[in-house]
Amino acid sequence: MNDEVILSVRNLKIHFDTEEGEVKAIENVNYDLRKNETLGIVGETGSGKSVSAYAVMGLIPQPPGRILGGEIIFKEKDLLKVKKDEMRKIRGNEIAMIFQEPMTSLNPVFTIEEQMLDILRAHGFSKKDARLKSIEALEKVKMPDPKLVLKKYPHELSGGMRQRVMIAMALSCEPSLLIADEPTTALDVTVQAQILKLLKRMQEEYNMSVLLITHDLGVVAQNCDSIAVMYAGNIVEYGSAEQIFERGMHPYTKGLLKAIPPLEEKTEKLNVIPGVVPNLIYPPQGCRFHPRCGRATRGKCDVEIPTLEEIKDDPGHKLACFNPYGG
Amino acid sequence: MFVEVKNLTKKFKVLKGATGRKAEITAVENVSFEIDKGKTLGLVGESGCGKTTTGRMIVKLIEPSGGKIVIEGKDITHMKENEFKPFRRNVQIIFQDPYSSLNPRMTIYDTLKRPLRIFKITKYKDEEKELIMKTLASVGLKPEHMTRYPHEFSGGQRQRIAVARAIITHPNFIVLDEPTSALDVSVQAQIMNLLRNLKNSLSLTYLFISHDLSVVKFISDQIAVMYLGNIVEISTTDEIFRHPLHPYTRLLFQSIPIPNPKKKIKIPQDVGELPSLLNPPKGCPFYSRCPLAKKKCETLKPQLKEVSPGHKVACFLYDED
Repeated sequence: MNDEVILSVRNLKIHFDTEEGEVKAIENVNYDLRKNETLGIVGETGSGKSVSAYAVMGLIPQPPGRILGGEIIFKEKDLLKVKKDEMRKIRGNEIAMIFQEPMTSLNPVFTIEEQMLDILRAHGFSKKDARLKSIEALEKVKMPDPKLVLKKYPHELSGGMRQRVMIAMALSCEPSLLIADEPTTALDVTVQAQILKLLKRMQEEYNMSVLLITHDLGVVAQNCDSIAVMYAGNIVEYGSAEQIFERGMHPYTKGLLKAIPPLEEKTEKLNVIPGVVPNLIYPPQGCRFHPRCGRATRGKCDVEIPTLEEIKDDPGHKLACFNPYGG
Repeated sequence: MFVEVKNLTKKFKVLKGATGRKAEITAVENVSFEIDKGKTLGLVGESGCGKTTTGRMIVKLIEPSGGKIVIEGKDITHMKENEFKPFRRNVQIIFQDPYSSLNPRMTIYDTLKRPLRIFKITKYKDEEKELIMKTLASVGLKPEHMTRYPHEFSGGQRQRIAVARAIITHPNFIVLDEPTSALDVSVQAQIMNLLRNLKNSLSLTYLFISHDLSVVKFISDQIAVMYLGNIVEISTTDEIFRHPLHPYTRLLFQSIPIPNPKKKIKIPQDVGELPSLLNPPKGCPFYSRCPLAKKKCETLKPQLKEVSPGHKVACFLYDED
């Protein structure tokens, strides 16, 4: 990893108009992604982790989405300001994405070959080169018998194989940034381990930066250099894997870590975060976590919004909390 | 012994390929286990290993093709529905997806009153209402929730309703099929604590089916590992975590991402994926992915054998001869 920042998200704010009202999905999201770095964005359902990534890809449908502010700087360009044509070129060539459910992201009525060639030809390869390139891409993801796989339809492949095809397709144009949205959630644990190992290897080979979106704290601990913990549209804590897992200070981060049933010791009772994720049409005033927080103070946490700030004496570790643990 | 399952087998008829040739798959093959009263057996395995089919056969939602199921000393395997009805009250199931397991057009009160009326548990309406309120309170819901519909609840609350529906008939035995897989981790913790408390306070016996080993470990006294329709290893929870013997159990344990960045998992090698049930291996079901496979494993199928007290494994590596 070096210090060159390739993606910088600043003050991102995205709301969605729905029949019930305006969903304040992303309030104020800030992060930097350096070259070769893997940043994990972790959060529960409705935290805004996927929306923030879709924004980088320019995939927020508008309407109903409204990007109300902020910047997404990728290689010195603000992706929120580039023209549609230019964004099309960046997407796929420089930024690629893989999705959670490989079955729904592949077209069921075309063979793998047709779908792979389609992409490569759209990016300027001749038919012959595209074919060679797609075989090479499948070999790179360790697909057994790539020529045979090219002739198959998605339903003839297993979940893990489909995800390998998706990775091969995403990486066929050698992007410098890969966004992986829950890439292994639909897979079995033994296959998940293999796919994550493959992603790591591909990252090293292509010098890629990876934005890994997941709800699985085990997956982030094993695979990420930096971690952003999101809750109800905001990053509440940010830091290296060690800073988050060993010196996590936000009550939400702490609560989440303690809610996982431990594998290495015995427990009689799991730690619980009381209540449920708030409805983002009517988000709580002040800190959005305060109604579920055991450390919230009246008159402060329910009134003022904490901002993400670096902790003194712990460079790189950022926190948005008035009453953190150990603070 | 409370629940005893012996050589349980289920074959499904399927149509193969575009031409629709008839074929048969064996989803569950000679599965045997016992659960003592008040204990929990965790059944773990990956998708397609037959864990759900096993659970559904035990509550008679699926007719087994062979073997036998004995609950509280009575063989229920071939009981007719009217004979089985008194057992139905004692044997309940909770499903994975609380979004599809509750009737969207029934209020919570209506959902909970049905089992009470079917089994004639309460005589009067006041009594019925009281029992429903008491049961809702025991799963952490409020009386005012009674008149609401499922869509007004979050996933975790819906799973609480499903739990309430299962315990309202005072069952002794509950099959839980991935009850927390659809939930976020903070909500999962709430439901797991609830299930554990209910097990103790109502002295319930559980068959807990899940792909998530950390969840299974939290609640189970014993664990059975399934692979391709077979139990490959079974032992007490402590023993199997301390000394996993079957190469598949080991692979499964090694593959879990541990939420600790200092303990990086090591995956031995690319071990491929599950073979298709349409074309199952002749010998050991794990042969195609096993790093320690021997010649014999390709053609001969190892049987489940006790290698130390209470610890059974189906693998030739632990054969004496």
